[in-house]
Amino acid sequence: MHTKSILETAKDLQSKKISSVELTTHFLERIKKFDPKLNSLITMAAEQALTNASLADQTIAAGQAGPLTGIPILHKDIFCTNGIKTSCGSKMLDNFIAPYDATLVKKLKTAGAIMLGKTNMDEFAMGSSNENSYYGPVRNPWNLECVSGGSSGGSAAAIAARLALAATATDTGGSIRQPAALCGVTGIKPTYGLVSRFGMVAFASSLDQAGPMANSAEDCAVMLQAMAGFDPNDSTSVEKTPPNYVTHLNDSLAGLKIGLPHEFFSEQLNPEIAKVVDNAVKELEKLGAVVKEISLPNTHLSIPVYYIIAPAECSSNLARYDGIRFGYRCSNPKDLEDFYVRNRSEGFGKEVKRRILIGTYVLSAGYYDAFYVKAQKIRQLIANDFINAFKEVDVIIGPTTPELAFKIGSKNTNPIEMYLSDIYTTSLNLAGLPGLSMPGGMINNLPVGIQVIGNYFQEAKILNVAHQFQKVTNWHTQIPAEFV
Amino acid sequence: MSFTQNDVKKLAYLARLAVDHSIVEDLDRILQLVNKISEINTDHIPPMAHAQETKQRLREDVVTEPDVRTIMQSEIPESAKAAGLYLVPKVVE
Amino acid sequence: MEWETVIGLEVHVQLNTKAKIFSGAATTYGAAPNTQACAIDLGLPGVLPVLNGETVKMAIKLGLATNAEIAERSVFDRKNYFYPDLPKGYQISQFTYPIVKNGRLNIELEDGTKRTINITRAHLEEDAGKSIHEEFRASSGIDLNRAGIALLEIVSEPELRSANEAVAYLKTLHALVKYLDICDGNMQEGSFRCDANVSVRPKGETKLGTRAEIKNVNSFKFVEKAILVEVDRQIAILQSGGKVIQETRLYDSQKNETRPMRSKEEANDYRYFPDPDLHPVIINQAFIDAVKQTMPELPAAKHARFMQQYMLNDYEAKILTASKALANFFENTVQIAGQANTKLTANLMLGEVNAALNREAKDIEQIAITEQQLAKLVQRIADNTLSGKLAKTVFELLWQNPQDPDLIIEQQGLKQVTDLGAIEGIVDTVIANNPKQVADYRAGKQQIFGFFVGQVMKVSQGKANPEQVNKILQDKLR
Repeated sequence: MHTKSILETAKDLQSKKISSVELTTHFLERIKKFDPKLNSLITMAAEQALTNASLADQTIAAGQAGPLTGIPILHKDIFCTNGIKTSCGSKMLDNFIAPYDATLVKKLKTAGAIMLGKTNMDEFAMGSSNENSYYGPVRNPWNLECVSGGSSGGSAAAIAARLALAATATDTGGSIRQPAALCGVTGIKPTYGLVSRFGMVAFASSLDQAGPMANSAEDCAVMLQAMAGFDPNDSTSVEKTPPNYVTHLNDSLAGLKIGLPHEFFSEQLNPEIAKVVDNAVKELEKLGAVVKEISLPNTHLSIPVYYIIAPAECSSNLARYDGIRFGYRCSNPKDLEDFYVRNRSEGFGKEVKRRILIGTYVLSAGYYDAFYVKAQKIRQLIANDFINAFKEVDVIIGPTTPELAFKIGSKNTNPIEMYLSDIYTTSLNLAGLPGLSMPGGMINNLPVGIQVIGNYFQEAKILNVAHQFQKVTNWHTQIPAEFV
Repeated sequence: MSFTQNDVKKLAYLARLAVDHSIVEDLDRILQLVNKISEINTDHIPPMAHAQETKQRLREDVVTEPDVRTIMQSEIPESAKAAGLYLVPKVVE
Repeated sequence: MEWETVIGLEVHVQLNTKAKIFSGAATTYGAAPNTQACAIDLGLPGVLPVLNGETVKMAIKLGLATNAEIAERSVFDRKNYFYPDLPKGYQISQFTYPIVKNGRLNIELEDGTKRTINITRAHLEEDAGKSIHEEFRASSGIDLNRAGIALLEIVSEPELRSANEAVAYLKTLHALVKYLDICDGNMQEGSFRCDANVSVRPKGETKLGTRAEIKNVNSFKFVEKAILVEVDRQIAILQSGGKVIQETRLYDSQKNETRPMRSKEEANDYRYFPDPDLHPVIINQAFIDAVKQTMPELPAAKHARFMQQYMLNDYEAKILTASKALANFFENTVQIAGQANTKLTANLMLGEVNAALNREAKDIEQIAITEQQLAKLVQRIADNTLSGKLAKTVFELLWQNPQDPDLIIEQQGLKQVTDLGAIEGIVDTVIANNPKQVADYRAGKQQIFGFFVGQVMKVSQGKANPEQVNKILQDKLR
């Protein structure tokens, strides 16, 4: 049951081969059995899941099912889920029971998906390894000594281990794509504004985007279809009707122009990873695509720019965590100042504090123009690189990460080392462009991710590319031995 | 460019955080990383706030939210509220 | 040394929209604590702001009414600081690109001097909640009902030169926002809050002195007092060789002094930056034109029209258009009483009505007498049922106990006596009873004519028509 695609499973459900209750029970048992090895879940919602599965079966029986009716999924613990703990991976929200549903949670509920639980993540979505979680690190199903990637490490690991058929995640600097790459699953970060941010705990408002993770582009397409669309509660939500992502999966790739930025393939890139990407591109050429070398000259600036803008916005977004109306509250504060300082200092982890401080610095008087404003200008330059490139090509391809999943604890001494994992991913968040990661190979039994980047609102195209690739390869069907 | 203990103390106050001095080294490293942008000429380039520069949508002037005090205040312990108010240590004006 | 006072005023006008500026929660005053604070107002994780369009229209109205520039593109910025009544830890405001700029307000002082005060800018922002300190021993209680209510902050150039001018400016602005129906102007409820930036400098000096900001003074009277007392304080400091500290101060009305606010000693670095959850507000000419169509007649235009249409002089028109409500009351009453009775109506409103309102420190909105009732009173004067003097009596009775004036006239038997025969009879009686005075009058003592009038009025219990009394007396005393 856990190796089938969403559409295949939907067929089985609708033809009564299996029931949603059976399916849900199956996955809940897999979670109980396998998750202790991974620590990919923070909260399991077994009771609600079975109740909803039973309701889904009724909907199916009434002939009113859609592709997601009765399908078990997981939500990253960054999405508010009404009546259910929403911790954002932080001690600050360890006691927070969300009093409302995020818009995308509502949409997936309406589509009939069954939430099995909330997945582990780097605290407040800040991290690239899921080692910054209050609830402990997530382990990579391919090698339990290694990180799953982050910040959506829990979702990625759970999908790789087949603990659900799909999961929601978020991406601010690479947090869907990088863990997807490290765990060998498919994940897509949509164009900024396509998926509502209402109910998604904010990290960096102009960069955050929610997207699905699953074991195939097709599964991601089905999920994205339900998640995307205008939300009047989100001022940054775009008033565009999404196309049908699923029907476009089978578009031909003949004549597709693929851009390969030479900055993504420098001498520093691990040659084995470069080879994997190369092989993937060759497969696409076999399907009719043509390759063109392009340049994204400002790529090297994306990390400094990201580590100015994201912390700046987060320093402001996290100011609401003061223990007054919700969240962690210290005991016996001396006075108001002590109350604020202790609530926040005891509630937040180290990485969060670092980013808040840097963010405060780059916004402060005397530094605002030199850092924040200047970073926003370079952001335009980075976006322009892509806009120019897309005049010549249809999609851009490269490695998702410069490295494979590394050992847990190996990057503890210097935060910068961790930041450099994001070299290929952050530019998309800065430009607001869509990008996905799909598994393209293995090195030392660790997955390698290929990133496919599209122009604004071209999710259908990049899912199409990934789907066609997955039709002629089977990297995405591999399951880590322990979790078969 | 480098952070002093005093710099960090000021920032920590603005952010209402207590930090130990080991963080100065980390912040310094991050500062070195981000300061790379100072080398780039950005004259005549407008700052980019969002991918799609759109206009703010306007909402109708209609009351849509009911009284949700009971639900919202279930997030805090009894000792943190009184007579419908949120309690904090005394504010001195 | 002669000193010059320099005042700039920042007024926070609470816009009277039904819902808050960024959420759909209600804005009614006086609700039980935190019953009008939704998830967005509370700054819960994951919530997002969406702009209430009505606030934009109201800001535009204020801009149009002050001949200001309406920004085609304005941006919301976050003002970051920590305070328990500020749930998100930042206030959504407009810093760099406000919605309105460079307006003007024409003010008139009590002595008739006219001045034009420039308005630097007006911008939209959200209000914070309220802290209650007195009820709890070791705690403060926070009520977030007010958090998120729309504010329009109107900032004047530091062009005011006296407490007098400051009050005139505030009163004019206050009347204007009520005229535009963008604010209920209720200062007790905090709908119209003034901060005064006050500094002094030697007369002739062009550089500005260090200013102190006096915050949240909630009545015109206190604004005036606060400014006067602050100016004295600053002059005293400077004269003794000291320096004025730039700080925020509160006015203590009990002690009639200003004192510094504790928390704002260190200049707060607000780290303004554009709010990434909101897009810029883009306003085109069509939008402004549509708002223009909904604008009410402005005070200046109404003033001019009143002078022309109702034949009022400048002073009369000024009083009657001081507030929209007063002007409407007047016009409605004239409608009912009849155009021919405009002068009478105006006199009544400028006289009795105005006096009574002032006496009880009430606004026209609180008057108990209806327009119909006042119009009827006007008609009874016009048709001679009531003499001028008795009309005053009836008005006082009406004020205490509003009803149809005819009922009062009936009950009190106040009908003016206009029956010539009856008056003649009274005059004859008075003449007969006062032979000495008659002789004196006929001998040349013209001034005792008033005595006879008084006597006739006494006998008739004030009801005799004065004109007729005069005429008949003059005839008979010849």
